[in-house]
Amino acid sequence: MLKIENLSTHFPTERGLVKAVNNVSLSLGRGEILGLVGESGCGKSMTLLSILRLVPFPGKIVGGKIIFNGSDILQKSPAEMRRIRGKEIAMIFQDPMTTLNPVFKVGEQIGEALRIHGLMEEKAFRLKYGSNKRHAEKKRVLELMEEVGIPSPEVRYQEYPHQFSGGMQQRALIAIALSCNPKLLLADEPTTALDVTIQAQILALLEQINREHGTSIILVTHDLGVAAEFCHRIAVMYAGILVEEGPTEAVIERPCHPYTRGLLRSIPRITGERKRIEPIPGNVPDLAGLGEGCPFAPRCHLARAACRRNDIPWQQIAANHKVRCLNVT
Amino acid sequence: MKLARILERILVSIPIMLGIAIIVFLFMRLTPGADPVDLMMGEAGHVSEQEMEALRQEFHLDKPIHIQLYHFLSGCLRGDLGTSYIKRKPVTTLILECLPATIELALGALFIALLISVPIGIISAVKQYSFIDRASMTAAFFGISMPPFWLGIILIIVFSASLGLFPSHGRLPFTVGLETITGFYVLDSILTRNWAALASTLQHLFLPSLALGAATAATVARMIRSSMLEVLRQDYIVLARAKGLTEYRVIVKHALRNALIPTVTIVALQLGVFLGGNMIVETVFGWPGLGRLVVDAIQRRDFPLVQGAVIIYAFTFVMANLLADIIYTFVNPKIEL
Repeated sequence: MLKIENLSTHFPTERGLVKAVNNVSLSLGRGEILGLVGESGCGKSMTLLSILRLVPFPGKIVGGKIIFNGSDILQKSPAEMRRIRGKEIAMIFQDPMTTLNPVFKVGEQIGEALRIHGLMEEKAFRLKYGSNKRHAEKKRVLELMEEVGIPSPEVRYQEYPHQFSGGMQQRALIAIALSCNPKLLLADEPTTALDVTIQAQILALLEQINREHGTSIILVTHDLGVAAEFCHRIAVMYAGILVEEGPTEAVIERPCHPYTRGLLRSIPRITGERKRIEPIPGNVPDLAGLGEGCPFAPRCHLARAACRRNDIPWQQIAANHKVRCLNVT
Repeated sequence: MKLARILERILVSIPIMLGIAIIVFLFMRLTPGADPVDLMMGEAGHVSEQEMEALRQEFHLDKPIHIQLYHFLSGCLRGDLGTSYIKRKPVTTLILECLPATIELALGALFIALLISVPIGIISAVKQYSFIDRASMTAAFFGISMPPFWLGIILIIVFSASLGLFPSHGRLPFTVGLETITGFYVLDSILTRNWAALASTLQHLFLPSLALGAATAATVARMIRSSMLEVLRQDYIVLARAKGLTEYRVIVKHALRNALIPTVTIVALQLGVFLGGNMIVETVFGWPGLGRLVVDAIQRRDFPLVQGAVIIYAFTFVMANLLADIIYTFVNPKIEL
């Protein structure tokens, strides 16, 4: 359903060209959940924003294709693009507190996408919610609020975002994303800003949406644990490039890239023998000054001279499991 | 809840007004060389001691100061601000005659200020660092730096004296008749369907409004620009775009509505400044408003009139503050005290 080929998004900065997304290729089937995992600043969010073509200035998509439902998103006109945003592809953001507009009522914000995409005029919606547009829209919004688990939607409809807790705000944002029944949901760290218990609830909600509506989801997270629990497939990103991709079990059971292994080791465990969590030494490199070769080489204990020379090719480990490392045995 | 807050604000205004009235009264009494009877008699030549005594009694000037204050304050509450020494008419009547002209000019200035500043503020924020942005912010810098009297004179020289596009003086020439109902000429000419008078009124209103409003236009444009820049960086703007909204709706609905919250207060306060700070512009343009009345009264030491006008100025300013507070509660949903 979604096929990203060699997508590159670059940011010209004073320090040099930042290749935030560098030749990324991904694909996503209908109803599939893909986890895009990596540290802060590795280009995960920019990959999502590139799909919606909302990369902030001065960033620019400089190459590649994003095939969505058979046609290339990057070739669409701005007006065609607007019809896709919110309707076909919706996005959930990281920080619910700052993502809802503080001056509009929550109900109005949930209904807005319905209105601008003219959904209430579509036949299926007219049959279900009636032909009076205002009533139908409100009915649909209340139903969405109910679905995402906002209690007493009739009251909450009239409230402003600051009257909502963080978890409720994120639910409202999910309701906004769901309003037009999108085929693809882009979730950019939807649980990072929330308490752990609320995190679990929000993930369960996303899982339920995926199950009931068959919505495909790309979940961006820095938490490999979350991805392992929730996603069908995992792609690991580092410094703008993908380094490993495969089915969740394969990536978790048999991580091949030293970076993936590092990420897994840095998750604290409560079962098994007590071990210190092992951080990955070093820092995320400055994307502006990235040279040739594997970007992880400076932090990798396996790095050899060859690692620093050329682009590292993909290596197939198993049917769907591939990795970009010269040291895979 | 909002009503309670507004009531509270109104109640707070009362002691402020009272304090202002007392201070104004005392200043007038403490000014040296200001014996009102002397001033009134100045031009009358020889006056007998008896006549002077009669005048003192008429104006309560023979009583101790706290009794005078009492008379003054109780008069204020009845809407009686005393009698002009020079014009020998009630101050309240004199002020009410001039007030519509001043209010009309203030509203004109506010209108022009908003007409200029809102689009410029938005465009310069959306097209930051573009030619339009740099040009309008440079112009805004000049707008803020220019004193209104100087701008007024320049406007008269250019648009009136040289180009002859706009009249330089007054509200309406005698040749254009207008039946006054409210004293607001724009309103009156519309009410009486006197389109010739309307056109002439607007022409007369334009230059003084521009002179008075230019500095505010510049300030507000810069404010809108900076708060728009702030707002446009927010996550909810990205969400608005991700919903599929047109850029126009993103800016005008989602961004502007937030950017206006800090601006609204400033604009409402500016209305108070326009009503109270227009002596110079009214004098330059021969505008028959309160400002000119006061300048005249000060020059002729007509203290009751000055006193009354200052109280009216203070009152309008307190009202503008109140208005700013009230509007702020309505535009910012987070205020729910």
